[in-house]
Amino acid sequence: MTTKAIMSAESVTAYIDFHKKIKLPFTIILSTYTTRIISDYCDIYFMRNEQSNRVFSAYAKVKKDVTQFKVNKIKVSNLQYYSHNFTYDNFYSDRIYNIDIKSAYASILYNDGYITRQTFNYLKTLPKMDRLASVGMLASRKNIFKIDENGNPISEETKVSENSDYFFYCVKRTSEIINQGSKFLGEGFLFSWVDGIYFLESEKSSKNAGKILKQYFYDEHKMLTSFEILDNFEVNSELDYYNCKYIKEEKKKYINIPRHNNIVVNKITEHLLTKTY
Amino acid sequence: MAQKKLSSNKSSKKIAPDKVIKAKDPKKVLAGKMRQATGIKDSSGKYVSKIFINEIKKTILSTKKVDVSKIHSDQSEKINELLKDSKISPKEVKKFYEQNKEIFEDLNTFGKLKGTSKNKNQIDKAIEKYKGKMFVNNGTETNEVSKVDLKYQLASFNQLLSSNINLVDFVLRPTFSINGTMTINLPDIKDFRKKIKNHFGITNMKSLEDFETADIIEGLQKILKGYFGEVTDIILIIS
Repeated sequence: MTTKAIMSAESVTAYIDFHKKIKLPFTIILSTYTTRIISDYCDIYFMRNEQSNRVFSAYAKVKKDVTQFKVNKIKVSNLQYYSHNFTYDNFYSDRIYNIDIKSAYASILYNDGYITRQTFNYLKTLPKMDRLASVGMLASRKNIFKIDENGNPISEETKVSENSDYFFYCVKRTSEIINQGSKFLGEGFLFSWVDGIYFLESEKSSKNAGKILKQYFYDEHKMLTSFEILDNFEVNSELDYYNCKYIKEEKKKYINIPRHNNIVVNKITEHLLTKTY
Repeated sequence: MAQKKLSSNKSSKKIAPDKVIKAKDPKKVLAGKMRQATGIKDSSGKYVSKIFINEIKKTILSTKKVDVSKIHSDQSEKINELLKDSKISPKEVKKFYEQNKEIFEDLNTFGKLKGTSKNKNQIDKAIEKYKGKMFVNNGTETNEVSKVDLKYQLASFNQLLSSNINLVDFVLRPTFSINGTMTINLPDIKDFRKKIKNHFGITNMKSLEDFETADIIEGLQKILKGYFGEVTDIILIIS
């Protein structure tokens, strides 16, 4: 029988170390939200404490709804989660603005007819991270490792959910909507991050911000949004990413935005990855 | 001012048969001109090796979606044939090199190149298809690892950070060498956990849930810099 437990790094490590100590082989299944250890001694399933029954229930509703429809294959390598328009490597502004889509992925599934109003309303009652997990489980990916008696991994198998494309469809549509919305801001646009746009005050952005919220997001895409003022925005450039800091409702916030990959380095990387040595 | 004494028998000096200057071979002259127009020189002015030019050519071919994965760098004839089929001229090869000289020179001079950033899933796929040797640099030593070992270390790193932190993803930047090695910066999981606990003054990783996300990101970045220096080649994406 599978025992369920709350995940903590220590508890998972304790089980791994115990098996190693008594020289007992085991299988460990790792995913973003769960870890499972199976052996002759135990079958224990760790999950994060916020993975309440409501999350699994919401996931079941979403899965039941979406699988009634077909979705095109999405090329994961083309998915975009962020973009930026930083002119300077290091930059400071007293104040910037942020528009976030509320319940972006759930709204896309509902607006595009993949889930019922009932499921959508249920998703909206969940806290943000639980809501994301409920939809994110569609694209669950498990690494299954067989570990020998000395604690060394001897084989690996990756299992990807057959419903992944429904989740990636949400990512794709969100980035399309966000990218299009960003264009209305002109030079005021700073960066986008998943379902949010961050921008400076500029002639164009000040003129268009209201229109973007009402006409673009609400009227055209049926998306509810939030509008926030962020203070003490600071960008510090690292070699591989931009570290963005700001204050939102008196709380410090950090976002690390990877730099865009150099196209040539990308091609050489791909070449070195596939060549025969 | 004293004038330099001129040799009196200069005009009558015989030239040894092996020093006779022959008329230039037009074919060789043409080849020289061609080399000047299409040959690739490094920053020190030296022509780069044929093998290296072939690597550049293979890179260009791969940008045109030509599968060169099974073609070795010494197969000049085959590579040139593919270039011809793809209508890529030697001048274009040179231009491509010149435009991206810095990147290629790293590869030629140091034999190494920092590849592009890849997230967890992309790294997993890269490990699957990579045919060279793989190494992990844990900040104190670099060890060769098997594919399954590396995947396990990455999955464990992911598990450690997503257990009690809202880690959405992480991005790594592997270093490649031209002769077939891929090195990834990744701390030893147990040591990393110990350092996280020390940094935040906690005894259990679950206590991290009491910290602000911004402080967690800042702390983890600091710890990673302690392992790998200012450029960690690891970007943590935490919600």
